[in-house]
Amino acid sequence: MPLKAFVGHVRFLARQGLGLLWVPQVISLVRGEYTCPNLLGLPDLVRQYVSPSVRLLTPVLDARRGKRQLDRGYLSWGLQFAALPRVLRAWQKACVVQRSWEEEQGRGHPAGSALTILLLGPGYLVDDAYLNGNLQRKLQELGVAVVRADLPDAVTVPACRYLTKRPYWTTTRRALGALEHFRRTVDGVISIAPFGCGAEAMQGVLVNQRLRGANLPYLELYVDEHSSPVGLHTRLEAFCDLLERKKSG
Amino acid sequence: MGSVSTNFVLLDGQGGGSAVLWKKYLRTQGAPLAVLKTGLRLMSESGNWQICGVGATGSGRELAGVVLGADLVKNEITAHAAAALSVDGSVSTILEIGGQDSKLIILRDGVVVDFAMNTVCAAGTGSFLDQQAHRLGISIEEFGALALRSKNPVRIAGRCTVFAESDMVHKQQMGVDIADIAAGLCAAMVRNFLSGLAKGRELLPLIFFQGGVAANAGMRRFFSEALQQPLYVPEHHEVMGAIGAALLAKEAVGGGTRRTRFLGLDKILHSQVTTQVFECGRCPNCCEISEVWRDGAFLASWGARCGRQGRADQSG
Repeated sequence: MPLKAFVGHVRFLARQGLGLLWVPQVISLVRGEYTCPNLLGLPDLVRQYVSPSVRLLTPVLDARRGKRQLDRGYLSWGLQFAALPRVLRAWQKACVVQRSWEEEQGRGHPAGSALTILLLGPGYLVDDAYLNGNLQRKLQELGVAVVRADLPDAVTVPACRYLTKRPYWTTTRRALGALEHFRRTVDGVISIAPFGCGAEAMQGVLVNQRLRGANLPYLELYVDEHSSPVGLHTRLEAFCDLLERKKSG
Repeated sequence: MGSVSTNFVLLDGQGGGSAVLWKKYLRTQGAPLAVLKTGLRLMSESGNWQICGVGATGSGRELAGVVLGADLVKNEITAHAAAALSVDGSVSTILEIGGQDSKLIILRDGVVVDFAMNTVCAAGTGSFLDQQAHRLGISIEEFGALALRSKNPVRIAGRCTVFAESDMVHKQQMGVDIADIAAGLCAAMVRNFLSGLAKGRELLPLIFFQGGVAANAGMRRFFSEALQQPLYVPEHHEVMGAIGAALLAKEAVGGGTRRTRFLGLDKILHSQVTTQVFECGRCPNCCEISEVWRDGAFLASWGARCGRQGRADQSG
């Protein structure tokens, strides 16, 4: 389903007379981990759907042999547009922004009296109101504050140490790490995943196991091609009712 | 207002009790507005009632809420829990199978602490039993009794109802007795429910089984066999959601101290409510918007991801 949406966006753009399309092949962002197989194949998939006149820019981002190799991927992508000095300047700027963002995320969330929920799930679902049935807006209407699971790897990698084996999918490891980081400060956990997604299914099970007996309510949501969010909203409303009743004792 | 049935209950507004004065179970049959009117007409014919508060629940709760002028619109999980708790405060587990949802609600000390619902598809729910009974040429009311007669329930693939159906057809063509197929299907649905929803959750007694499917004796038998515990099926199991909504509505109107927003039987029965669904073309999201109109006047709309209301906004 997310791939369909992706291809839909690509075709929409292609119809607008687009000449160059950036679809990176993200193989691995952290040593020893992979991204989801569907992301790996994205450039090849897109190629089938756009006319040959559209130029595809598909830099390979691969950290399997370490961060150096990953950085080389970024740089060689830049070199297609500019000379090395300019690329390096841009790269340094990007690193500064990334670092300050990571510091900000690590600081945690403002504590308040309102109910807070940790939202786990891939960015392409969490941030796409179309695919996720307007999840964040609905939670806002229900008076719930959302804590995002965006945490730097420096926090989430050590947080996953309790597991006998580190998950090799980066999204899963980040979600589990965020769960460890936030579980004592939130009132509940929601995970959202596309129906039939392998990586997210693993995540659901691992989160479930971790929270068993932890007295922290957990809701697993799956989305597919339903254009009516009624089913999703029923679950969200019931979950928020549960949290409220629990908090008020 | 559910996918398969629309249920009406009248609760005694006086006192703290939850005595059911009148109830009606009607089939929605894809015509929620018509069935809403039918139910209200039957209610008005059954006695001269004074309505102090109205609650709506189920997948059609928003629509019903707008048409009736409900004091409370609540999701069916909370409603079912409220109803079960009013019957017995010590309930710890609720199994509920309705038309397109199956739910498992876990309570501790009278508070909902966890729940699970079927995921994106409606496999293993009441509407599937309905369909299969129809295909076998038996009424859904006889289905449970038929399943109980079985001596050798056959194994039916229960993961997906489309798989289940082809498996059932194969068994049927091998000459397996219909009672054994019916029982096999019940067993498969119980397996499906427990593996999909229970997932290691602790199902402690007292266990309630409610929703339309609780009427099915076959389902009751296989559930209590699988759980190795007796189940309690409440007297008004088929309308528990409605009872819960009514109880919560009673709370919402302060036990009758606040004025209800109910529009009145006359107004509802003598007005024409229409709905219209269209695809909005304002942005590439192409949201499916449904609008409700009463006698030509706009009431409400749903489905716009941007939160826009009504057609008037459309042009603007």
